[in-house]
Amino acid sequence: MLGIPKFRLLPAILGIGLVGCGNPEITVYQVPKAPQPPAQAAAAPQPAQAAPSAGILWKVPPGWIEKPASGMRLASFEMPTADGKGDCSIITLAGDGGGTLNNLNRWRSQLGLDPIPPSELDSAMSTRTGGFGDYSFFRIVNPEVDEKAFLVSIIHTDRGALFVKLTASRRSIDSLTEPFQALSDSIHIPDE
Amino acid sequence: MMLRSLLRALSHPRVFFFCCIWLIVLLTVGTIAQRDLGLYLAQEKYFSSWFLFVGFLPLPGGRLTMLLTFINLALFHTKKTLWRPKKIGVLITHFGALLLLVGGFLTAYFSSEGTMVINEGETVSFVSSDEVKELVLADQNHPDYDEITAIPEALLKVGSTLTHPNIPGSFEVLEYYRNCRPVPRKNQDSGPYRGLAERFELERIPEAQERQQNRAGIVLKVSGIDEQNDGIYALYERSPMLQTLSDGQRTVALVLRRERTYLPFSLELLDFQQNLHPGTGMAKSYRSIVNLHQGETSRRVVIQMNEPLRLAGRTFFQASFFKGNNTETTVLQVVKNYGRMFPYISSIIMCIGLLIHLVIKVPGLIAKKKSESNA
Repeated sequence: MLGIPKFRLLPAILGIGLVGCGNPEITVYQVPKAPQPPAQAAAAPQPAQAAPSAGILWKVPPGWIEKPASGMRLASFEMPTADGKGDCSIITLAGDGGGTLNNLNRWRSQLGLDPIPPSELDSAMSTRTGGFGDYSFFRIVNPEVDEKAFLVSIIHTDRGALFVKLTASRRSIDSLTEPFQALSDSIHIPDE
Repeated sequence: MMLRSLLRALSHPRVFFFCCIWLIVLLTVGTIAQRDLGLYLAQEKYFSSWFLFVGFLPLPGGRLTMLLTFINLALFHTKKTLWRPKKIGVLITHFGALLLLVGGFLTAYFSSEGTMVINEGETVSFVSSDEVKELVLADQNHPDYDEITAIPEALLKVGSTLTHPNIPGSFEVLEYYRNCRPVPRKNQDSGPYRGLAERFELERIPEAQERQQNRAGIVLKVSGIDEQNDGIYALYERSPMLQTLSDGQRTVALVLRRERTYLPFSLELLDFQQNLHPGTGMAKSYRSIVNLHQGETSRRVVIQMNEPLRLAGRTFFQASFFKGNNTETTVLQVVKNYGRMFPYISSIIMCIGLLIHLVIKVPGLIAKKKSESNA
């Protein structure tokens, strides 16, 4: 070619050829639907489930695993997050459950946040509508605490107050907001 | 003429000398950087890269340096003056070094690492890649199977448009993140936004030290279906919200996930066992007792620390586990590495080459020493 033995080009061609392999492409394949074992079945989207004693129902968000109820907990859930797992519970307390502001400040203190005065309560919460009508939703986060943050819904009913509380890392709390709100919205008394 | 000069320059021993020194520098700097960047980011920046930028100055990365070394060593073998009986040891040693680099290239381009996560009682037949993601359209309308259309991460370049008979309309990739988080949407300028994107947008965040902690995200513009479905969609890994798309004939689920490789066999976790050191809470050993289902046959296999399962070109290591309230889950690290034997083979070849060279050279050196002392 240029008076160069052709085999002297071979190493360079081989070297460049080795690094230039492979073209990505879209692939289509079929995966048989496998029967789900109990653990996965519990995590699959579930129809509304009766609480053991309170006579209320809720819809479990996809991917959340319902655990046995115990003590004051009407329901317990666990869900995988980017950095571990989150925990959510539904509990019921008589009357107003000790008052919204008292409970909010108690949760704030658990995260090292200062309590807020009554005048700031409205700005700390948002109002949503669910099976029991309007309820209060709180997102409680301390930017200096990574391992814990809370989402809380307080639902007032004629039987007492329902507290739906989710605990997860600060990084995971945003991604859990939608399913948490869906769960809170879904809590209701079934039609008889 | 230029080509001849280039080849002559590339075959000079100085190229090998400076490449080796530069590799030592990269190794030192990359090892120190690993403390802050983490293993995989440091590997990507210093050892697997073509170029390394110090400010605006491009320096050769590990991959380019090793390519130059490979070319240099290979050109070395084309020198006619070396193909003599007395140089056979040198040739064999250099060939061994060349083989080491070939093994490195095979590992870099054809190896894969992933994990298999299996709950007790569950059967899994796929490996999830530790590094590579895929965008998947899952058609779950068939009663017996799901039809999966997998778009590899390499095709998810910002600005690219994806079309395929199984893709409703077309997808334009607006944004792609290797690590991101959803934040409440502030910008409502473009649109219309669909699903998660109506209330959230994705914000890029620095990559985590442990790559499994990264959460990839993508923003797509879907066009060509209809007014209800066209729009901007945002997806991110492990999102609790399922995004679906419909073209009027079928509905598919859109998922961004770790790339799955389906295996010609499956593993069913029968039991996970953890042994603790007596009187402590420290783990002594873990083991997974699995049923290996391969075609019509099944057999019981134990995978434990230092005793991996080797099958179908892959090695399954007992990596980790986690315990829930009612169940235990095993995590197996799965490695496919075509180049895994090359370091052993090339080291043996280099040793043989050095020994041969020693045997050839030593008598002459002894004779020369004797004649000098007699003189």
